[in-house]
Amino acid sequence: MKIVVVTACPTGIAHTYMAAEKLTEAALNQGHDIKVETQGAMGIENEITVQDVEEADVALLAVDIAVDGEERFRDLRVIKVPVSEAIRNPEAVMAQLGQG
Amino acid sequence: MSCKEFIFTCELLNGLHARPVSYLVKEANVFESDMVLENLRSGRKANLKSPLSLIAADIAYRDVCRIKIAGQDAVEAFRRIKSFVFKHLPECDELLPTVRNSGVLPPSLRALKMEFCRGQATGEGWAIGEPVCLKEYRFLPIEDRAVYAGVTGERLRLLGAIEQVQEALQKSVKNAELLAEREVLKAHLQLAGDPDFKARLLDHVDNGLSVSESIEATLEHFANALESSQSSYLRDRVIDIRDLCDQILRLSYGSGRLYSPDVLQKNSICLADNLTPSQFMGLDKSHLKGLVLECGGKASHTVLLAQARSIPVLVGVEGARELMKQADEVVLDSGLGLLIANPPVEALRYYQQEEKRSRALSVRCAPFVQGVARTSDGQRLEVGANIIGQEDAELAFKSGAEGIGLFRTEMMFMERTQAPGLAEQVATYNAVVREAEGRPVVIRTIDVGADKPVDYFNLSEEQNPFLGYRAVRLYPEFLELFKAQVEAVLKAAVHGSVGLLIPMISCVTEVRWVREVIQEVEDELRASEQQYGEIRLGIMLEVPSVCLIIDQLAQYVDFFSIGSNDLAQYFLAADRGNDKVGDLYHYLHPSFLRLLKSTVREAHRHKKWIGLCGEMASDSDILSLLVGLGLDEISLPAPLIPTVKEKVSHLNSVHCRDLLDQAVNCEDIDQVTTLLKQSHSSLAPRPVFDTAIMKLDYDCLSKEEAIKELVDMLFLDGRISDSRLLEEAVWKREAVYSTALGNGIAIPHCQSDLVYSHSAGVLRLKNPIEWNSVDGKPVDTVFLLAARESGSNNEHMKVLAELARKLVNDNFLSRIKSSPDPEALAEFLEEHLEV
Repeated sequence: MKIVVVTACPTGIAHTYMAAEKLTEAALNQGHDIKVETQGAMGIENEITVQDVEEADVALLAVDIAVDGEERFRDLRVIKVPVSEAIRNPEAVMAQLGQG
Repeated sequence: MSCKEFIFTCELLNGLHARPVSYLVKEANVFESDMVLENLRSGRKANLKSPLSLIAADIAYRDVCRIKIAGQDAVEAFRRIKSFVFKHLPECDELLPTVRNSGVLPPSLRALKMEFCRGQATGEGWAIGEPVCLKEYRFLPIEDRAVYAGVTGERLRLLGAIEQVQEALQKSVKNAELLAEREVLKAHLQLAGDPDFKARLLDHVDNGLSVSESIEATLEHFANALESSQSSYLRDRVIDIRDLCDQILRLSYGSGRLYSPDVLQKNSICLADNLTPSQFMGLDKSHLKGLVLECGGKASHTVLLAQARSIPVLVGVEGARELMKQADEVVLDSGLGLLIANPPVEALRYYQQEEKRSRALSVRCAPFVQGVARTSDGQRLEVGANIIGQEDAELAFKSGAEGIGLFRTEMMFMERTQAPGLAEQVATYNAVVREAEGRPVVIRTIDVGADKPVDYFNLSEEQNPFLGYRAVRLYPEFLELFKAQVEAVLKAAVHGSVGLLIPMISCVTEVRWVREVIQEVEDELRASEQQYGEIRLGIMLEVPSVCLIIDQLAQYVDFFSIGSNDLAQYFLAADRGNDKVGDLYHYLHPSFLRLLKSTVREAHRHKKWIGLCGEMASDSDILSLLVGLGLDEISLPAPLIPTVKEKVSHLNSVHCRDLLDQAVNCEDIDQVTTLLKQSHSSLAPRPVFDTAIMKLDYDCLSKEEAIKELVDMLFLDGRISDSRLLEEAVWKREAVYSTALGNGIAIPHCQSDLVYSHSAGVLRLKNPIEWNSVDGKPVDTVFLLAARESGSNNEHMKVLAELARKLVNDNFLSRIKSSPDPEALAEFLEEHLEV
């Protein structure tokens, strides 16, 4: 499965990146293909492209705030979770994606 | 005999209080005429020659008043008084203590369950001690009818007592330890000589009252008048009159008639409804740790005296008496306006942290008080002080001044009927030069004009005094006065390094003339075999014209001093006091920065020293531009000196020059301001990690304590501008959801311009604490990530992001938790995060 992810937290200097790390680790462990875009204090990094979206099976938004470019995923199944949930329990979040 | 009158509106924000009153009385006393002021709002009348009656007339801001003048010299008096009231009185206001925000308690205290009450914050400092309620102030009942001596006898008793009080006060003024005490005693002395006060006391006695009855009635009269005043400043003056009445009473009948002062046994926080300055001075300062006043405002002389002795004070605390009566121990915090009964252990720990912080802060400031200012790459910038008198000089050198950059002498010439004599000037300059112990002292000759009132110059009114007859332009007419000043400065130069600074120079001719006069004075001194020292001659750069002839001037002078306030006003043709054009005045105007840049370059091209005094020098936000200009010196008010020296030490002169080059190419002030803001962190690059912001095995009881400790560490390492505000920013984020995300780690964080450069503070705890972690486990390692908002250094931001990513890695975590010391931890972090 290919997953596209956006992470974003209120301050954008800590949890955005921790969640990205945790989700990447969990996805790779389960043999998924994953790309995580971070929207933090340094702006958008590792941006998800049109091609990424086309190839993806599911979009995950691990966000506590409104994010830029949510409309990119309108043709995809989109799951939204709080950032802290992604950090605390990434495996459970992965499982949620699989159930879809 | 003639009679004249006029009406005016009081434009003084604090009302007609002691200081403006003293100026007004001085003006009035020059004349024979009777002068009466009537407050048309309250109907109260006052004798213009009696300070007390003027104060009692309760003239508040915007009150309309009428002044009537009758007598032989009424016409001249009318002209002078009217001109004074309209032109100078509004400028006589003094700076009253600013109202500090006593608002919310810091996070460490507001979470606690404790008994406390709030009052008005009066300044800095806190204290802990046993609560003591001082005896209430009152007159003891006097059976004075038994000693009544008839009208004549009572008059003698009263006049004798007043005279003794005046003598005692005069002696105390001389012996006062502190400047503040001297000032208060002087005010009391003035009060004791007030004609209305004395007349009222004598009137009562003449009408058959005893001295004590008369004192009581007089006190009541003035107290009523003042207490109903709309100005809190005037209400605070009642205590001084009460104090004086006390003293007269005591000397009329002997000390047995007043209550005896309380004796303090151990460290005490004292409560009084009201305390006179004399009562305060009578308390044992070794045991007096704090003062709570139920009544009275924070501008009272008692409060000022306590502050001068660094004793924290609270005023207007509701419920303080009940709270203190039932407490064994209280904490008084004058910064927060807080009184805590039987403080809980967490509160005491908060104050221990505060204590530790303030001690560390003074240790941190110490090298900047003693040492010289130098940028991180070694460029020198002398930091001098602006002073107006001898007392300031002492404070200046205590604060770390490297010299006196500007001694404004006109204050010595103002507020008097004739110029100070040679001997007085020599004594004053000598005192300052001696205080300097070899450091340079720049003495500016008298800078007066139609806009700065000095009676004996008798300057006529001008349409445009700012562009008129002032400063050096007056000297040829007042040649003797100028020569006397030059002579005094030459004589003081025997004792140290002295510069003579001439204000308002606009052309070479003036400088040549000044040099001739100096030569003349030197010749005279030599001829009469008097000693004098060598001086350096400097000129103020205030008139834009001189900035274009630095090369010519350099042949005649030794140094230049930029007076940025006037130079900017003349250069931009905008009066900064005028609301309508004030916006046009700003020293960050790119054109003005260009003027400064070329002026400094020219001065240096001709090997001349150049400094800057004026408001611009005290604006620490633009320090990088001042360093970029390559000035030899800046001169500012003494209290700012240590901080400015420290800030200089974090700057890099090459970066500062680049920044200045960019600033002079900006199109407007806004662009310059934005540029300054964005350049902040790149000008003072600090590593994200540093052992100075790490503590391992820290003993801590709560999340509040841990966050405060981290924020304090950042503050003490000069990484943030304000610890209280940053703490609030961190807590604001913490309130969204807990930053403890399992594995015993918490990462409180915030992004704010309070942060100078991105920082990661580390606190490893001896005993784990509760932090509402998602895994329910306590926290033993805390990272505080503080990021700057505008003009962020992106490299450093990446480090913070990288750290956040790594913190979810168990291996990484266990290395942090097992680091033996801060050095090893800093090394490990730097190694694993590409810094």
